[in-house]
Amino acid sequence: MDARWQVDADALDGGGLRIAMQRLAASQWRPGVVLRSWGLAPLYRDGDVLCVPCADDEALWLGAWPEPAGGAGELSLRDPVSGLAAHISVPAQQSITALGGRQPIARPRGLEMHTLQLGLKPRAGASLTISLELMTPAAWSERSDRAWAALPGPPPLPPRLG
Amino acid sequence: MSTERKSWICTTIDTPGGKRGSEVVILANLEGVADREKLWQPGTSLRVRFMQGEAELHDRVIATARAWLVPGVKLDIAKAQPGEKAHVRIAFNENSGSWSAVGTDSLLYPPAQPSMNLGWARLDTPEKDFSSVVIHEFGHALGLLHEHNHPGATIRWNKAAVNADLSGAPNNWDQETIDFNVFAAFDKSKVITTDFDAASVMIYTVPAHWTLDGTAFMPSWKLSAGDAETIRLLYG
Repeated sequence: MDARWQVDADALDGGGLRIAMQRLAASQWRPGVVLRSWGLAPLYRDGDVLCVPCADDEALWLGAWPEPAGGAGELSLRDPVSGLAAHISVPAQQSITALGGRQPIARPRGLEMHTLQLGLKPRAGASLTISLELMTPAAWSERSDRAWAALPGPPPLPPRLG
Repeated sequence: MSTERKSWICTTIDTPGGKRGSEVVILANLEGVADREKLWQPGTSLRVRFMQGEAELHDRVIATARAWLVPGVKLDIAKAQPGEKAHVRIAFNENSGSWSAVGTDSLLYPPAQPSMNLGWARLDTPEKDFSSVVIHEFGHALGLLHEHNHPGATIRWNKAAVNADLSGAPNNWDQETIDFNVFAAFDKSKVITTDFDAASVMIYTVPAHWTLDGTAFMPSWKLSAGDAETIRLLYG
């Protein structure tokens, strides 16, 4: 098992970057905008595969940030079936909300499972590629032996700041 | 408690040349975070000038702010008389949110500018909401800092969610501002550490989706026991 990354508190920790899959209702997904998180997708590591549940009525987006602060790196997410890929440079960019600028990163319609390739290229350290398997909640629960819960609804409005 | 209060967060203002980091001292054996370099002299009678608002609102603010004057605290908080020098100047600009200079930094502001803004405090604001924001901002004016920046807070931020929320409306903060106000933690090697007070009136509202483990914080609308001990130690 690749020791260069691990899952901690439903976030992927690797190469000085922290990555978490953010959930929201599929109806709220819009291309080209900053999406809010309605909650974290639970993660399960099965060998060198990162398993992520996604319900039919949900969409996911990938959020990434350096941890500890000061780190940097390149992230990519590639769909080997369609060939679509998205790239970001952390910390200047911190989210991947679409593949190829059009499709949300969610379980592709009509597929029970789908695997994406998550590429991490830390500024300091070796690159690594992780298989990210999008699964139905039922399949994910069976594999991880963890309960999956539907989203309770949208989060409170962002705080007003002075 | 109103739903609206759950979305209240203030900012502290560091003036140019203001100090953080090594000058910030976290007092041992109590909960709370204070900037020792910006404390008022014990015995100071803080004079407050209101730049806007009606007299009844001013009286309500002063009466609420005096919650910090727990037994043993050698401070006073009162309205400045006409012509009298004010330590704190308060505006009620609804479009500027709620914020305050930290402690004696208030004196660095030009006399024509407020050192505190209470954008969400009005005469018709419910009592708990009013107390929450006024006591919090006066905590800053007395030199207290945000509790969530305490090194002992160890909040596991879901930074992507925080950044997404705070970079958009109504705040539109840039990353530097988010990092400073939310994620910054005082350097343990340069401060005296103590317990984190999750019940402090000085903590931010932190909704559960802002943390990796679902931890949420809701600031108190009144002084916690730790807040009272902190202010007593600072000014007793």
